[in-house]
Amino acid sequence: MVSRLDRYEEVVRRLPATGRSERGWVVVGRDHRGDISVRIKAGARRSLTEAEIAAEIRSAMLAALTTHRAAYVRAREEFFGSPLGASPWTDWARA
Amino acid sequence: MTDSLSVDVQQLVNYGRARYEDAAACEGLRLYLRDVASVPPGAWGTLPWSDDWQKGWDAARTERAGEAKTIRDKMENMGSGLLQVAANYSKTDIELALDFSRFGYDVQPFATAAGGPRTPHYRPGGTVPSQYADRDGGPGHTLREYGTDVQHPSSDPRWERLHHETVPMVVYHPDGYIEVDVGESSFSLGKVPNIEYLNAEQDAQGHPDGLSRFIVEHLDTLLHLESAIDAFGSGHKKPLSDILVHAWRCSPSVIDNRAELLLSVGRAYDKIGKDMAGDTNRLTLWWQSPASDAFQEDARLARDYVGSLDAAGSVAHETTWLADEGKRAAKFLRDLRAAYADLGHKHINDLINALEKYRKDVESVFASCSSPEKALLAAIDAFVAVLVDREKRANDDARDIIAIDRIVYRDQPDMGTRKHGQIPFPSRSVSAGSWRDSSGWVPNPKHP
Repeated sequence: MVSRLDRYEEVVRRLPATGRSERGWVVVGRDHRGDISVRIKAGARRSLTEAEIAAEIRSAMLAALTTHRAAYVRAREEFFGSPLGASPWTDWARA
Repeated sequence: MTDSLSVDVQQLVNYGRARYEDAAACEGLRLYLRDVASVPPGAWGTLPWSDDWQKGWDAARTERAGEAKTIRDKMENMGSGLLQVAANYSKTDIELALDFSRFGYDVQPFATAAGGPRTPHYRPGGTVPSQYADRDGGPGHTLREYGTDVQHPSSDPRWERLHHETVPMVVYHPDGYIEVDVGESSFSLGKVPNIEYLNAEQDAQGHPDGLSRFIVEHLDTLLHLESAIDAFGSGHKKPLSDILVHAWRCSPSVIDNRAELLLSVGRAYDKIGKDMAGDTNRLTLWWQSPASDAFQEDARLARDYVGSLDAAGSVAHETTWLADEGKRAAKFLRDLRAAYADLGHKHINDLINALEKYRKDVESVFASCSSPEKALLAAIDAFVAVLVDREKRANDDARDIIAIDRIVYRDQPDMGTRKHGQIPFPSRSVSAGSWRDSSGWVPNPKHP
């Protein structure tokens, strides 16, 4: 028998998330299988410096993580009635 | 008006008065068994065996009250009968002043309440109706109906405790849930039920006992863990609500105090039996005839029935057995509470650590990849397993305490063979009441 906790874990495992970088050059995604994709718009290497590209990737990843985190907290609220200790925006995201 | 009587008749009067006082004392003991020995149901707690103990205790009290009634009526029958013989024999009115001081400090006020208001008056050729026998069909009078207050000095800690006793309880507030933070961090597992733990059981020094202190000290942690169990799903026992709270509710001090006071009933019977034995021997010195021999037979049966503290199968012994069982039950509950407190203190850090680890895991980036919920449940389960193991052992041992056969089957007459059932009064070999004829009484020529 699948318990409620098992179902919750299954839902959380399959949570999709997408993050777009601050200037829109990079999109980081996680699909329901957990595969991570990083898409960089054509022309980024011509328009941006190396440091700018790195910053774009970083902000896209943070955005993806934040979106995923929000979905995670939402899933907990749905299953448990409250986030039970999980906060939506955490220190690691702000760093 | 007994000072003008001859010495031998005076012996009859003394004997009759003493048995008459015994009858009032036994009515007092019946009231005592009904009121003082009545342990408030809540004091047994809500442990798996609490219900059995409560039913056993109350059933045994009923059996013991039945015996008190039996002795009461035998004593009244003998006392009243002998006083009437004395009035007839001496052709003199006999009026008595009763004195209940010999029954002991605890019991005396109850004897006084039951028998004090009356001053029985015997006239030659008259009859005095029974004071109690007409109530046999019903449940018997209550103390209130006797219209007398029973009071003991407040300096006696046992009676003082009785009059101010409280039973631990748990109050669930209807407005539901409150926010509580765990420990020093602001970490919260959400809302916990708004529960108050009142009237904590106290130790001998008047402080909350070990279990009370453990629960109050770790209440927030325990309640958080339980709200986590509620959230994560069913199928897991809760350490507080499923185990500890059942022990919290019991009050060994209340049970022990009432059992301690019940010991006085056994002692009163012991005194009644010994006084009667001495009185009966003395009576033989003064009277010797078929009537007095028949009376001796009655007196011997009654005296054996009352018995003494160490005479197995007697009423005094059975009553003391019950009081001892109450004391045993109280000690058993004290030990269980202490064991729970010990186990709690020993393992609570595992729970606090598990909660801390859960807090960290849930906040981590990879929370969704690990299973912090299952890890926390496993830690709670481990704690619960320790408590359940102790509860199981207690449950096995509890079966031997206050164990009485309560059931009388309808198709089987009660032969008085039930374990700790009411002891039946033995049948007698001589014709009932043949001693009531005053013409059969002849003084012993060799009297002192």
